[in-house]
Amino acid sequence: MNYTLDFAPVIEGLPNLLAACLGTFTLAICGMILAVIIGIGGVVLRQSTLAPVRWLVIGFVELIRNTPFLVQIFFIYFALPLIGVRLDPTPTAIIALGINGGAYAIEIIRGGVQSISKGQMEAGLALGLHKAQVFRLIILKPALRAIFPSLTSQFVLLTLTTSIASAISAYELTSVSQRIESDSFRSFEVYFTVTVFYLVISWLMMRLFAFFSARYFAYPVK
Amino acid sequence: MGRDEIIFLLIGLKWTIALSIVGFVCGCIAGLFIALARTSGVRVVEGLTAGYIAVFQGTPLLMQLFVVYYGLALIGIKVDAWLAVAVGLTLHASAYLGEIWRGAIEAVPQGQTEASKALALSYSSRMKDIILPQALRISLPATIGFLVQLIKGTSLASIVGFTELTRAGNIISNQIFQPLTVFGIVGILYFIMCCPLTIYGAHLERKFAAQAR
Amino acid sequence: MNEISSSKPEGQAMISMAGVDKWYGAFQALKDINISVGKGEKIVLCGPSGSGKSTLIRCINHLETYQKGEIRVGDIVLGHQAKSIDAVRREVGMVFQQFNLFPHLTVLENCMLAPMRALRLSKVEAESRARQLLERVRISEQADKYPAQLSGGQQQRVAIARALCMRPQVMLFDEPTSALDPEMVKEVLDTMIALAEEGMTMICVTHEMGFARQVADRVIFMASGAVVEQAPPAEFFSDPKHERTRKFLGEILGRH
Ligand SMILES: Nc1ncnc2c1ncn2[C@@H]1O[C@H](COP(=O)(O)OP(=O)(O)O)[C@@H](O)[C@H]1O
Ligand SMILES: [Mg+2]
Repeated sequence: MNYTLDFAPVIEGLPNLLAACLGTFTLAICGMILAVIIGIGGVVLRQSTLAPVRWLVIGFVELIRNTPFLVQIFFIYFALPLIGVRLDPTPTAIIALGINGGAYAIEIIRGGVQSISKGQMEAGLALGLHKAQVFRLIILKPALRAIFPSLTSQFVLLTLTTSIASAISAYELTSVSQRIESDSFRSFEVYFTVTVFYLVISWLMMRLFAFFSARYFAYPVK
Repeated sequence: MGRDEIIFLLIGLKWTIALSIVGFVCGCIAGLFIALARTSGVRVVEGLTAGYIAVFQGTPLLMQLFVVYYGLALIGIKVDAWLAVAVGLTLHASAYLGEIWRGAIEAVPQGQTEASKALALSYSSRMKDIILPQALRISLPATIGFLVQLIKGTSLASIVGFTELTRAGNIISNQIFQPLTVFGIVGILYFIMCCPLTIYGAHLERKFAAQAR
Repeated sequence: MNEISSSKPEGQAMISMAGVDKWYGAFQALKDINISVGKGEKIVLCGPSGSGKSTLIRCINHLETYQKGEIRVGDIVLGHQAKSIDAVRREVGMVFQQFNLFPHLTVLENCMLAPMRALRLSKVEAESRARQLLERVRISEQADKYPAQLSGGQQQRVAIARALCMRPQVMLFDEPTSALDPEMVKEVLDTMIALAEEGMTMICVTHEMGFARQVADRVIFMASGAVVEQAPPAEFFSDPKHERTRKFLGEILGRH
């Protein structure tokens, strides 16, 4: 009860914490880019005419969605060296985040492509456009618009998930805060402050997505 | 991996299940109040609950567990990791479930509220008999989806130092130096818990979508 | 060079379908279709729902493939290879029941897209052409709006202008007024009538029998994937030859 809060170690560690925020951003952005690549690739494979390829994608998605990220990142951390890939914790974390986010992205992107009516494709073809043109000029933007809200919340979640990368000591906010905590024993003060940092980071992420959305998807729909 | 290791993992599994159930049940109860407060029509109350939800949805679960763990100690409550994690998961679940159910309550057609009012039903009867049953049905797929997320979230208790399934795996993997086998088995155990729920949720979602047509 | 079509009374055929069969899996949707449409001719295609009307006109611009027979548009033989499909689609405009305007583009951009991308017109050319045609369907004041901001009738007129921007030789209409509220049907039909009077070759799937009487040179009646009967509208309505035609006309005219 007679504990007095002391934020001095936090203030002292502020430069390190702010730098670590950049680490968190890096993990999040790189993870997202990898997730989108895996997502698009997965959707293409998911449409394959070869049934085993489709099953493989479905199996991948379900495996990732039904196991904790913490277990996934441990597994990848120990598995990569066995297949001859020696990476630092931070790139390892990016790979784990990309794989995890990619599984969710596959489902989201697939939903977006399905949400575009067949009539849009046909109208484009009837006007003499090629399939690739139809996809690029007609399907892509409405499909992205349709999935943007779910993509946003999935990517905010991915940003928060970066904190779990501290389990393999990747360079990001949580692991840096753990270091400051164990040096100062001011556990509550450190974690409370870092929680506020995360709130700001996820808010910034949401603003960023909202900015893109307002800029590129401003056309009215019914 | 020998018999002892397997048993150790299964004990961890037991705690994972216990944490999931406690977090979900308590989270449901607290979440119901959050959802009702969030749709109460009272500006201040709605604003406060919106803030509560935004905080829990805008910060990592891991941080929430840390803050609760050390925060409880701070206000003089001597807690072990188990209780701290249970409280943390409950708060976390209450925010997410509150938001899911708010959406569901608002998705019940306005006419239902109007008809209940016209029939002179009290607030509690209107909610209990008319709105909530419909809202819970609408929200069932999302609720199950969150339960899966919560089960996976219990793995973070291992970082706070509570020996559930993932930490049990960690300990054994350090003993026998077979991380891939151990984490593979741990992953499969989580998968066995989560996958049926995921399939059931997707099934309900399809069923409801078909009925809505 | 055109032995088949020169034997037709209309002179040079704009569209000819000879012995066209189409299957969806085991289900035969088109059965031995033989139709020839002369330049400037207006055809109304009618028949019960599911009789294959949409399938037939969608074969003409290869939105559907067909398994047997031959389709010609002008002097292009529509094979299954990309080159002839592209060529045909540039000559054939299509208007859909559900409009299918592109929601993320303005009215003007909807009209400019294909001329720029498929015909490689410059932006200036495409825009002046688009404005001219929007004027023609009397909707030029809406050029900078998005489809969602227009009524159904306005959207369908934009869709007609969009197709006309490709300067097609032929226009296909697939139930262009079926998705419209009753009060908007007339503005679309008036646009189609004006187009017909300018000499466009048209094939219209429609149950607007007033339009058929006023505009069509010939009415073609389909049932179960086959052409049952074709005749000029006066004859078609007053003296239908087949039982199925009579039954269909009874239902469709009885409704009014
Ligand atoms: N993609 C498809 N797959 C299988 N059958 C189809 C498909 N499209 C249309 N059909 C069938 O072909 C027949 C003709 O369809 P359609 O040309 O749309 O008829 P209409 O336009 O005259 O109403 C119908 O029996 C329909 O069920
Ligand atoms: Mg049709």
